Amino acid sequence: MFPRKSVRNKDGSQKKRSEPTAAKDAEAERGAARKKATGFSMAYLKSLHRQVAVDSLRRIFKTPFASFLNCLMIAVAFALPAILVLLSNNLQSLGHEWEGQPRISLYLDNKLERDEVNRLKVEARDDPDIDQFLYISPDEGLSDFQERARMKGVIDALGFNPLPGVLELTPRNGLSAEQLNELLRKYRVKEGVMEALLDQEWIKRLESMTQLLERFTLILSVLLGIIVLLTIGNTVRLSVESRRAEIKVIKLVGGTDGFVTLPFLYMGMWYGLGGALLALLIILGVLAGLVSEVLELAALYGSSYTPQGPGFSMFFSLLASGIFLGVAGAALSCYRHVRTIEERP
Amino acid sequence: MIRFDNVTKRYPGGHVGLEQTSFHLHRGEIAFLTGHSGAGKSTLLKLIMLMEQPTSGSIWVGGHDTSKLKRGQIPYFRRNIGLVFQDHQLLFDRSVFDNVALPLIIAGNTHHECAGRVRAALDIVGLLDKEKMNPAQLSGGQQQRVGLARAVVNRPPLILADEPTGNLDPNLSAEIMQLFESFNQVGVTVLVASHDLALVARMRHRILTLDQGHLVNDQEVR
Repeated sequence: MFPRKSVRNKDGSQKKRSEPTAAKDAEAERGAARKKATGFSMAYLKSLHRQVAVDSLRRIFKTPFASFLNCLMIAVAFALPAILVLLSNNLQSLGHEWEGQPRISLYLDNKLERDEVNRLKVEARDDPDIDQFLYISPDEGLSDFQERARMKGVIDALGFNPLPGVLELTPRNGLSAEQLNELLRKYRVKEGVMEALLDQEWIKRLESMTQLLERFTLILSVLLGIIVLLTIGNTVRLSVESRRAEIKVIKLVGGTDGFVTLPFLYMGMWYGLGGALLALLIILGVLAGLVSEVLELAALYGSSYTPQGPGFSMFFSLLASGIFLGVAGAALSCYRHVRTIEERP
Repeated sequence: MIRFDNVTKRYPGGHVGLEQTSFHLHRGEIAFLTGHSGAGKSTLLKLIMLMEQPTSGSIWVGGHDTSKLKRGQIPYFRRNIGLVFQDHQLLFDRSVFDNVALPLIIAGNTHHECAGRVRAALDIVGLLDKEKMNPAQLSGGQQQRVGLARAVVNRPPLILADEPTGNLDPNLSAEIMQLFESFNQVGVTVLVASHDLALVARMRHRILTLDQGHLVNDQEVR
């Protein structure tokens, strides 16, 4: 920028200072400044970033307890929505597991003859979409009902059996909801079938519940993400304040805002990363505490269901959002605070 | 190298830093800026460093109208000025070597690439054997010399010093002043602010005297 007699650089090409003669007017001057700003060699950038990354990590470890508390706060904010995501994932897969065994109940006309019922049974047996079937005759239904509901008197007073015969069909595994509905329509129109019901209501309820849970998790994630952003921003702000004198000196010997900001961006990154890793530990701890109970409960329902842990995708999205929120929080904080250091025109 | 044209700096609240000040410091010149504290010495240096902007008048540094520089250009502008502070402003979280290397690192040199020039600068101020120490372990005079090494390490065409001998005894002060003279002898423009009138008079160089913001005397003593 100033006229100089000689340019001293070991590998002159990239870190070249702007030469005086051409740089007279402001436009050329700005261009030169920009060229200098972006013209750093790869070797320089590498060594600078390595040094700054290590240095900011060392600063974090200088106050281990305070840094740990910071990370813990970030970790809890990450762990909460992550656990909710796990919960809704598990509910969904629970739904999928049982969705494979819905039942179609065919309520038959009471006046149906025995061989007509048999014809329906044969049809069900030969249907490749039907896995199993079970016929409950009106008499069986009645005795079952009386046994369960202890309403013998009421039925006796009626003087006849009001219950229809029921043919319960279990479709084969892996049918989609649409295929199930088609199957339902097919049997509904058979002769002698008064009504056909697909026993699927509770799955729908489960689905809408998981949807609600997902929406809730999303909102909670956004709110807690903001908390992470603010936590890291605040930590970085305090660090900027404590290094005020140093920043001022760096600026006066020609350090750009970017140079001044870099250590703080790394600091935010380390906090975000540390928080994410700690969050992973919390999640695994919570799962370890719950898994035996869940297995017991599943066994009670005769299910071989095992809960799912955080997979690779959750691991990576936790780390990625930790790094992203850390750097973003630090950048937001620095943008405001680094500029105000030093009396500016 | 430095030209002030009717420069006035008033601070919010009415305090006058500089009033209608004009002077021209030529390339390769050495000058001392004196006056009581509060006379405007620091204001003048801050205006040159673009830490402040004049209320009126224009300031040319190195052939540039400083009012035309954009915010983003200021760091690159400052890399051409070696600045020496009264309280040396060294960073105690790093070694002497790293303190001196700072301007070179900022300008885009790797640690490895700086080594030669850092040692050369430390050699000039006579502290080559102290490069691995922490500045806190050094005496006041040594710390100030580290500050000087940092100011000259990237061979700036202009050196500004704000009370560089303020905290030093007379012998050390004279040593520091001689270092400024030696920089000037190799072509560097030097402007030193000091309230130590006796010391400044002994140097027998141009003296700019400020009083309550006015430039009251500009004498060549050569």
